[in-house]
Amino acid sequence: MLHDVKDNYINSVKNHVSQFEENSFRKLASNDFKSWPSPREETWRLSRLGVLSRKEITPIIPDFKKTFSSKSQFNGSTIIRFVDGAFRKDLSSKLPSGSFLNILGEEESLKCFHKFKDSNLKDHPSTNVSFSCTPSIVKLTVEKDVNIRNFFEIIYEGGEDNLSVHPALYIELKDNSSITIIERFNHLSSLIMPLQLIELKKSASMDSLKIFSDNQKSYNLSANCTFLSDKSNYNSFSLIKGGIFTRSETHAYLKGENCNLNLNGVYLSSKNQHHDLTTAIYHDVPNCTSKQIVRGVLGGKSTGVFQGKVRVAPDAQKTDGQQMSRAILLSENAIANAKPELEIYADDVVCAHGATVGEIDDEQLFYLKSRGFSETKAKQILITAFLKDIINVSVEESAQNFVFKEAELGLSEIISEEI
Amino acid sequence: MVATQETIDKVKEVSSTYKYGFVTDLEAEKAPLGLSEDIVKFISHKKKEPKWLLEWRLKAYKKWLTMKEPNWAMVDFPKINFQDIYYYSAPKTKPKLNSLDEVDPELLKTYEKLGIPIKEQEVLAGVAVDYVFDSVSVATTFREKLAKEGIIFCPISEAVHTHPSLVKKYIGTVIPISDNYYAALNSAVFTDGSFVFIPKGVKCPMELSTYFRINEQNSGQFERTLIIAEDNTYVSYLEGCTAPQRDENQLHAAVVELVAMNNAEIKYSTVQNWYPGDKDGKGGIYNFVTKRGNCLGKKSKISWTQVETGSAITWKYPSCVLKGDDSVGEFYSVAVANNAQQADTGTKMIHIGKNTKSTIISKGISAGKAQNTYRGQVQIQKNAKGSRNFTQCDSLLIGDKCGAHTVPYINQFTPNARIEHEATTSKISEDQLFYCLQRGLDTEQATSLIVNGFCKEVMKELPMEFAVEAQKLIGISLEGSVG
Repeated sequence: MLHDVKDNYINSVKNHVSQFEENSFRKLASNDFKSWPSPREETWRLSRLGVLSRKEITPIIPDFKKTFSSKSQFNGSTIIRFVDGAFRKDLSSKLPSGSFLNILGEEESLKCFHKFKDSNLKDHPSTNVSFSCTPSIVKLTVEKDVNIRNFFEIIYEGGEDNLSVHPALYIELKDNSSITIIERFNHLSSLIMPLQLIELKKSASMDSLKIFSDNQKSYNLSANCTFLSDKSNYNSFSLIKGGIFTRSETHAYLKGENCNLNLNGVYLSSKNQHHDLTTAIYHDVPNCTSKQIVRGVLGGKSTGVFQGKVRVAPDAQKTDGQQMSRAILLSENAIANAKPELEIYADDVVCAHGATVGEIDDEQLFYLKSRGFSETKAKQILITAFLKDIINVSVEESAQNFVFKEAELGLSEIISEEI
Repeated sequence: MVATQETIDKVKEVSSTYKYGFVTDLEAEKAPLGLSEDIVKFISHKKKEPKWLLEWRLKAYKKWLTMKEPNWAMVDFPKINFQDIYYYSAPKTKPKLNSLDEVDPELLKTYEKLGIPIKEQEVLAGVAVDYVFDSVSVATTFREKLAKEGIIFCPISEAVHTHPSLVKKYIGTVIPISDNYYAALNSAVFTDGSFVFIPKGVKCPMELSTYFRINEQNSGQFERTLIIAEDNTYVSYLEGCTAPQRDENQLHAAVVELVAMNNAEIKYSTVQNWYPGDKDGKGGIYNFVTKRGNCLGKKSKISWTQVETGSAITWKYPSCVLKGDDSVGEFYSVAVANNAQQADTGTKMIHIGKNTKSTIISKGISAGKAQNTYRGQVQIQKNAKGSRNFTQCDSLLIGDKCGAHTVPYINQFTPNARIEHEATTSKISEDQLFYCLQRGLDTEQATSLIVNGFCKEVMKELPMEFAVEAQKLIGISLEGSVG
């Protein structure tokens, strides 16, 4: 039982917030962190965190002297840098007009906290711990009618062994605005708990690209809560390849009619990695569409998890919800788990999900071999195609090459072991 | 087998309100209210059971005391007071009969009301019926014919005495007493059920059938069925249920265990039509059933087919454990939930042996305020190379106050296998409905027709007599849900 283990981390979180007032958001959040989720909890059954309670981890105190200079990958992009979980204005670019960044005060942070607490992420460990320990909640606002063409690159760096980092980002897109954000997680910490709140106002449109490539010993528990208003668009693609344990959990609330959501993702797992893509899509109003495509390639002794839930509320008629997950196992010792879930309370809807798990298709392999490719080469071609396929439909054209290169790096880890 | 006029008439009779809502006035010999170690001993004593079985029951009872009711299913009902249930009741005049004429005429009348005249069924359907009336088997027909083949088909309480070694060898091997809360409860207090043994090389010449009937007020039924098919055998078993209308909720926690050896095939079909409660959800049966089949032998096959239209709450997951190489598991299900019914049903396919195959076809229909959940697990273990699974679960929604949910769990531990899962949710298409209406059907007939088309893949797996009944049942269950 988890509760019997003396959990130092809980105490260190409590210590971390001891100087704050009882009704501050940090104190409130820390009071709700009582233990790591138990494997009996349905949403954590396939991704267990018990090992964390046996580690000696403490929340980081950011070092504002650290410098990083990893380069921008795109021309003209705006860089926003978080080091040790704290926003570093000195290492970030100037923001384009119509957008601004500010650090939230107590009152606004509390509002932000309550938004998470009203969602189904309320018991997520990151919600409770990161609100307690984040250096500050940073808000990125894009003004009404502002369309920013150039990418925003948000780079998360820093962290150290046995320390946990807690970046918290709140993005608000006002009416008719649009933006593309590329986030890269490159931490060295043992535990990373990024928080993200996204609010898309009327007809706002956001493309989001997340690349999880943290240190090989890291645990990354990312929690994202997104609210969509009328006619808004949210296109998200996550590539998970780093860490020993990475779970990207996204909850999207479709609150306005005619909005459109794509939550796609790829996990590439090798060695002892555990990768988990968990999503929950809440159709609360009529006439919205959501689509999800998830693919995974597993080698070594890795484990892949996809848990996707689509909930359609009683009034959300004319909902179109689609979900498709595929996993390819390349190793005898890899494990693939999927739990695509539909919870539907409205009748005039079209909802479907499909899930397959298997090895590389024999016929396709035979086809390539009969044309002179070696087995290894043929497998490589097929897996590459398997990924290219989804990257092409999920990622904006100018970023496709970059994403594909990142994916190939992950893939080469797997392939060098297996094929 | 062709459906005879009688069968069709019988099915036609079944009318809009719950027809089977009447109570037979038979004085039952009840155990005192509630559950304790003494009650378990009382049941065992009443049935003159051997010591090992009593000990087994007591072990289950002690295990049950330490367990908690499962709460993960998407069903919502008031907490059951397990001390407010009679755990044993039997018709007082215990008949030992050679022919049906000796059966208590009141019982026979009940069956007539139910629309299953025993004699006619005997002749016309060629089915040996093992009636379970209030937990005690009353009459078993066709037993002699089966005995000639060496087939044992009798109440399990009788098998305990006549074939103790077989019962002792297999009982609890598929579903151990600690498997789940309701299985433990059943193991402690089960009263009766069927026992089937098919010896090596025998293909059972007829479909075996049991009609369950819950009667005595407040008597939870705790059936226990055990079917063993030895090498190179085939058996088809039918289970059908109807229950009288009641205001108090009745609990039914049955256990069904199947064992299939090399090259054996067991086909288990169920039509479940217990009292679902009234429109507001008052009354109705709680149906918490554990069903599992072990494909122990090579090339063995277990096939579950179910049509679930009744019960207020259904909690049921007929499963297959595919241990033998090349074994096959199948699950075909239609679950209809109307008014305030709640169903959480599905299956588990656990692939252990090499080249094992499983197919899951599940059709869920929700209407009224009902909630219908498919919950299933497909697991392909490390050594199950070359295994395949195909799952399709479709849901149909009728009305905007009901819910349809799909919760599949997919776990694969080997690369040389494949799992495919598909699910869709939709409502009856306007086009189909319009087409039917245009041809003179009313909305209800049209709905029934479309729904039956939706379920066709499952219906065709049912034996003929059941298929006719089941089709009609689905229509009846959905009455009042459209228009």
